[in-house]
Amino acid sequence: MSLRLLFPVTIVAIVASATSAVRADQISERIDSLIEEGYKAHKVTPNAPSTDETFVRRAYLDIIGRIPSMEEARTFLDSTDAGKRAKLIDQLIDSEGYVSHWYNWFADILRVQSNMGNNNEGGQAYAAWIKDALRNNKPYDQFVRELVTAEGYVWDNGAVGYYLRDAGMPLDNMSNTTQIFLGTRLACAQCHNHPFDKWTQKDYYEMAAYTFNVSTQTVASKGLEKDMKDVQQDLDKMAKSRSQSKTRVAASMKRIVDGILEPLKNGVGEQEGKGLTLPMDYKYDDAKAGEAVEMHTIFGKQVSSKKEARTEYAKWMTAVDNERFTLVMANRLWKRVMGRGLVEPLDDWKEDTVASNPQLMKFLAGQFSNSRYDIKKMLRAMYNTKTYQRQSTTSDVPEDKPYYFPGPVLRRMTAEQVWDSICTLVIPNPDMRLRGAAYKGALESLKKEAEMIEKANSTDIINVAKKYAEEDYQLDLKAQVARDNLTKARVATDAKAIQAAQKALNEANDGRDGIADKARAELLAMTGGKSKGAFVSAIRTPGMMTDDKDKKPEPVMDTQTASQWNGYGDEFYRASELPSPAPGGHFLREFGQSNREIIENAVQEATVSQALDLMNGPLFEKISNEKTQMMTRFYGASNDEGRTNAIFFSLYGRKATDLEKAIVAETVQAKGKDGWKHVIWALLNTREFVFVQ
Amino acid sequence: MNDSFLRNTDELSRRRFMNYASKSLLGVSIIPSMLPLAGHAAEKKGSPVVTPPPAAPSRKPTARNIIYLYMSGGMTHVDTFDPKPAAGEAVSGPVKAINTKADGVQISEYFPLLAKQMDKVCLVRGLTTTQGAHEQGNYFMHSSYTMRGTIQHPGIGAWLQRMEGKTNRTLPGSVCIGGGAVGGGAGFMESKYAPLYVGSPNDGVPNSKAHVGKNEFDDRLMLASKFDQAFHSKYDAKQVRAYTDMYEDAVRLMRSEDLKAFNIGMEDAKVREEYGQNGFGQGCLLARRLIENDVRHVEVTLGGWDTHTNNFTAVQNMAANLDLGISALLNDLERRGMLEETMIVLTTEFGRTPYVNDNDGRDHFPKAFSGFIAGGGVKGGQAYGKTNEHATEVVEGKMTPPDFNATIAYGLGLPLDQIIYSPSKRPFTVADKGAPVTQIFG
Repeated sequence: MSLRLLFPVTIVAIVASATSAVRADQISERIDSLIEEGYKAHKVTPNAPSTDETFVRRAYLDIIGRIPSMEEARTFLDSTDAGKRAKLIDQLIDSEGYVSHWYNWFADILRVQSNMGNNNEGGQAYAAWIKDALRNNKPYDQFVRELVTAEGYVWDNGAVGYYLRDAGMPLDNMSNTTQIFLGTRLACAQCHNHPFDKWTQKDYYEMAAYTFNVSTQTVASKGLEKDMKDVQQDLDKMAKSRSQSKTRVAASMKRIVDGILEPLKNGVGEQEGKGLTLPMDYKYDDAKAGEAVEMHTIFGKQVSSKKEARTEYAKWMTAVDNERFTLVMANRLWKRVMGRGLVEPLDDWKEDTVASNPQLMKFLAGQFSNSRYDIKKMLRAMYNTKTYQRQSTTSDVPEDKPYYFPGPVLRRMTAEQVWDSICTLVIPNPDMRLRGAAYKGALESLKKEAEMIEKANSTDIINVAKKYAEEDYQLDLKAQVARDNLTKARVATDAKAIQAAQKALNEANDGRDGIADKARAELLAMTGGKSKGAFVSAIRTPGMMTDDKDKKPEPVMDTQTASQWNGYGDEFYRASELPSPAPGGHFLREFGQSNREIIENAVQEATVSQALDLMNGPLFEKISNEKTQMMTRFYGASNDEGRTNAIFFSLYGRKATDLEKAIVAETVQAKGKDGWKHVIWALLNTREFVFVQ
Repeated sequence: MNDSFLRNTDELSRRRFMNYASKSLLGVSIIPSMLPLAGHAAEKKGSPVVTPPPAAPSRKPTARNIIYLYMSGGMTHVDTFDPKPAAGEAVSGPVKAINTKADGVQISEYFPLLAKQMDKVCLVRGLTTTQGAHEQGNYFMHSSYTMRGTIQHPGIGAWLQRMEGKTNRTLPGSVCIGGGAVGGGAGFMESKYAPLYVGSPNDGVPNSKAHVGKNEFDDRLMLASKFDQAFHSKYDAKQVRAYTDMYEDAVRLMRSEDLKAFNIGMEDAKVREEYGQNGFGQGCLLARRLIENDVRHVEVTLGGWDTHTNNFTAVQNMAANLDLGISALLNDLERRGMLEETMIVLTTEFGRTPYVNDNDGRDHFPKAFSGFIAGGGVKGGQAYGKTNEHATEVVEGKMTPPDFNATIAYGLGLPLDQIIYSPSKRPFTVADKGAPVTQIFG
């Protein structure tokens, strides 16, 4: 059957005829033919098809984020099945490694941080929610709707992480939302009319009005909320009183009440009647400073409903007729697969934005919405194209020129890919070594605390706070004296006095640090509870609230499963299982992992620190330790050819060429046993290792 | 460091460091040794790195080096360098103002040591910015340009190297200690102009020591390049070559005699004590060592100034370290005769609300804030710029971040009007359209 029959010439018609499901392989074919039309129009010669050796390493890295193990590479290369590439793609897309790799991508886009606000558990619940969505291939439009309409506590709904991440910054949150999901930059218009785009400050505020009433402060019960408001007002009055000691005690009390209520700050709710007003320095003629802002979408249909505003707005954003929503994600997926977007930059679309291959862009978007936003289906289609399976382009692909995809773009591995590849060299089954269970206990006890505090009598809270406020105040006074002494001692350069003052200051500050926790523990004891950590049993898996039988749960880590990693060191978890972002100085950060502060902030540039790390860092000894995956293969081989292959298959996913074998032989002859170490060190420090061909 | 708050600030600065360490692209390229101090463009005409043909600098430079002290988080101006004792407790809180060695210039009581050296310092009290968020404010202050989605602008360290080259062959031309900012890196310029990021001043350059002896190490390098030959001949791409360059730079750095500049352990215990046993103080000490070794741009970050709550406790704690660090640095540089050629700049992204909030804190305040410039030919003992009685408005000597950077660039003798084009062919200058305040120079 010819393609023309399958796909009517006008792309719009395809979008409209959302009737029959188009198979992924049909989409692949159509992508290739549109790309080939691009070659003709722009006189581009496509790259040659990739070899199986190149393909297997690339497919593992691109789809599940790590190099193949020796066995994985061999199994694929030895297979004589004509359809082995398509089969490998299917297998990888449905594996747990896919969840890890694509979570990293979303974590970078959504700026997921493990440590959000008060505790790690909240951030991890958010991460678990995203992983769960990927594991179950949640339709993208639904994924986005669930994020932007999220409410409740993080232990019940990890998606609230979307708002907790931007707690206290509702305006920034809206800028991020439009940038991520609608590829539209409104951030400039937050303070003034956009200098390069049509957006006005008023447009921005009207958009922000949809979510401005989202509250991340407390999601306490109505009764407690009201009582607490009264308490706050009293304290505010007290704080404004003239007596300095009164002011100080009030400040202490506020701090402690705040600390006691901390577990309640792990949720998202809506604050009734909280509307957005224009800023006091608003300077344009279309409205007045301080005026209330009406909700208004930036483009497309208007959503007028005041009730359920957030739901309505989410529906508007993810509706099929809001083209930009679909285009932006289709382009993102394409870029992730091929290394370059059809539209660049991918999150700054304007009305006159033209894709480097407009037909293809339209087609991809059409298929994406047609497939009901099925990410895996789109990826399967893209990975199965001839375009993807060509050799990568060997010369520079300039950023300011359109690219017509003679093949994928050569890329340095992301930080996560380098790290996860190293894990693959070291531990067995790296994709299955998961940490999910670790935080669930803590989350559960936090939940219990929150429930008890919600039920607590506000008089009790106040009494406890009062009791500890006095202690806090006394410590504050001590700190004050210590600081003054410290200053005096420093001016006098009296070493002994400096030391004494410093010690006193530390003691006072340490004391103040723990005081809210002490107060909370006392309150919980009063209300019949126990302190943190007593509720670890009876764990319900977060993000598993539905009884959907088809749902794929996170793999369970029983002790037997876990025992395979005994003795491998606690650092060798895949990046997706480590804190997000990894701590400073970690290998991942040196290789450019995003700080997860700014949307898509990862970098793949060369740095001297990376070179120093690979050459002289502590990892080399760990990789060449005899217990690692690569080295057990090495020691298991009976001759030098076998040993050489163990190293080359493990690091490069291919066997050594004749020339390489000769170099290895020469080295081993010259240096004996040490020669092997030299070879491994050298291969790790090649460009071939860190680039994805 | 046991003080819990300081632990916290150190953590903050570590986080900032992490943020930018990831972008660290250390520039250690082969550039012929530069002439010492007389870093005047005329004498540098022959230098291969000064491209395109350099425009004449605006004047003779008064400073050769810059130590840039960045107060990350938004430093309160009222509680530091622009006290308003007459405004009462609503503005000043519990903080008193003290007299300094400079007639008529008062600063906060939190800086008793600096007060004694105010004759070396020119306070800048008329700073004002349009950016009220941390990342944006920080970016604007470092680069003179506001954040854009389409380009990243270079910071002063990159400009300095781009226009004048490096002085020390093997050490980086620019180093950031305990922090760094997106707008303070190489931006659109080549990665070799980016600073080297050092997390903790005590650790020096991580992984700079090889596991094996020199000969063995050379053999390994040779082996790697043999294995990589096929890949190199196949991929003639910039990003691949950049890696190879970086390996060369890394090896050169490992073998540099000057690497000991990073070792503050070589300093006298008494000197280390003088600077204060905390990240910032030791960072200032490292900065001095690096400047001595011809690293011409060093940034030291002190984080933790985002004092929305408990402002006074926090500020008093940080000011103690800051006061000690700056005073030691000023003294030490003067003692060594380096203060005249070294400009010490202190700045931040924005100020904080002059009215104390309900949480005993202060919020972001971009409209007016303070910093200072000392040494490097600047006339000390003065305060340039003035805010109104409650420090809410600049009434005299207004300086935007581009003006501030233009003043720094002017001191360093960098041509303000020389256009450097980004790879996307957009024109940029060192301080955008900022106007230098020349009258603060002696």
